[in-house]
Amino acid sequence: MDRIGEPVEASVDLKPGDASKRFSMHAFGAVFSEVAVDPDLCETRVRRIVGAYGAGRIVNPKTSRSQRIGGMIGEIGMALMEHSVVDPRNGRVTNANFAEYAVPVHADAPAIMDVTFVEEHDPHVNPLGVKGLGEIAIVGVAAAIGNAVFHATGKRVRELPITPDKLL
Amino acid sequence: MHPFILERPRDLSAALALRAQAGRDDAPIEYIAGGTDMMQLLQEDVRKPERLVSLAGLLDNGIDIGPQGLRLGAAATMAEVAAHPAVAGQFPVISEALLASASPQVRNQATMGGNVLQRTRCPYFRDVGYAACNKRSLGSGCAAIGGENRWNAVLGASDHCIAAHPSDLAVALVALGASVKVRGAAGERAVALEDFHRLPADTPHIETVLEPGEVIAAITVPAHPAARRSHYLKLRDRASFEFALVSPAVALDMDGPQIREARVALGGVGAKPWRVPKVEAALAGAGLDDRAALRKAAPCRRPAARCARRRSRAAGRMILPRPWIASASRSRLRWT
Amino acid sequence: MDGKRVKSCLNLAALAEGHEITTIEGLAQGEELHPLQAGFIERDGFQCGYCTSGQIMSGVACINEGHTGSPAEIREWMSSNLCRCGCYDNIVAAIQDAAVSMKGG
Repeated sequence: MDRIGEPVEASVDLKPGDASKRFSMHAFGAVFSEVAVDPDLCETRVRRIVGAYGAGRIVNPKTSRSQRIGGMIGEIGMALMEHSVVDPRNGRVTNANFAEYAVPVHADAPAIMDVTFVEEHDPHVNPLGVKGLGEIAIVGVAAAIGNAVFHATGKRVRELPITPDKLL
Repeated sequence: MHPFILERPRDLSAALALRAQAGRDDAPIEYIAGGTDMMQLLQEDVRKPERLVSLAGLLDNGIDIGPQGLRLGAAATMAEVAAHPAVAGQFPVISEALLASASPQVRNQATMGGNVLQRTRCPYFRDVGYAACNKRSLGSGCAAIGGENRWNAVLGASDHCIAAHPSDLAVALVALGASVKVRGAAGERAVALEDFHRLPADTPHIETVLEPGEVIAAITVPAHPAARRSHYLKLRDRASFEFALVSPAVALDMDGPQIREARVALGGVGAKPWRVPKVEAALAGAGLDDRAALRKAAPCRRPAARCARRRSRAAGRMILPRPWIASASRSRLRWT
Repeated sequence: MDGKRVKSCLNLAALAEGHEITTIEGLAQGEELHPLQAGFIERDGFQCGYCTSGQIMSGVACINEGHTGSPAEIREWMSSNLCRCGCYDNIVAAIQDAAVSMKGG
């Protein structure tokens, strides 16, 4: 600018290409879970969760695994214990506190949470080949737990959370 | 939190006198010991005392065992009692109930007396946004009736209150026939723990037989052959750090493989810890391996679920009737 | 407080007068991190960090209490420290590591 003596202007037309129409560029996962359901008490505890993910180039394996296991814990909550209880008479949430809205605690974590990242080179998604690893962490685990409960008990529960009273 | 004056009396009689002045219905003066429940009540504005009287250092915190049984000072903490070798060895149901309660942090401060006196977890009681709560304000109604009451009592409730008593320790103590030593200005008296908590009836705001100005000084548990073979099972939605959906305490006096005498109490489902004499009577004389007899011990016609103990040195099995679990965990108003 | 873990939210400051209080800021010795703090970094024991001070303080007490005999025991005795990010697995690993190194001196 100092040399030319006037501001430099440039304009560019930028719009997405048609790559998304020609290629699927999502991250993928497959989740399996093993649960134990007490036949008398109908308490469900998760023993093991195994997840395999194809999510492009994994930049940081340590934090990527942490994101996964964090999601697994979150979905144990969704599957087995979390429920906002709304009083239909006035719309007020009756369990708006940590004592009654149960999120998973340490003891709910399964002994084994196995995460595998399938090697995946995606030349289309972007030059680095990286994909998002956020939401996929929490997708599929609750379904796997529901399926495992069905496998264990023969009961298909279609309304979460799967609490003991739904298995009686 | 409503502002208050913190009183730290130097001796117990001064502390008792302070509270005795206040009377019953309006409690401008409250005690605080371990504080783990009182602090919650203060923070949520459920209790708004003008003066908070600290009992720190004023009550007995000893744990004594002798041929008569066990004596727990009111100020002994949950952690100390749970870890005491004599308690864990001779009265395991007490140790187990304590270890299934709360958290290590809370147990390091919470006291025996405070645990027995803790208030209900009924969400309508704890949330002052609901005006209708006969416990907080007699005559205002009960918002829990007809509301979301999965956590509430199915035993001992009334048209005025369906709150459940949340203590695990109290259930274990009731099963063992414990007694409360009450200290007041006039001296000391003993009350069976089974009679210590009152049913709500039409005065749910009065939860115990303590008069204003009385405190729990100690809890005694008589020696009994059943105490050694005792177990506490807590059923809840998550694996730990949660109040019970339903929790039985069972103590068995065995004659070889046969049950000579059983003591059973239920928690999580009653307005107070609920002793079940019918189940106890039905279990007497039954063999531990006699599934049919154990099933029959349930007080209602639907088949009972049986739960095996998990402890390695156990000799007890428990009856956990499915209808009790069902009614404890579904929205129901009352046991009929 | 006085070497035992407690919930600060359930403690009146006035009643804590005269007691010895240690918070997360008091764990490190100068620039040298406490073994459990170092373990949290090594094992990625935190994500958003909101629960981290509590997890570490509770973890130190858990080790001192002798409740680190197995991962299951650690999980049970750490169960009132909630982590919504779900770092539990890594936290337990960090506590196990620190328990070993603290015993070793």
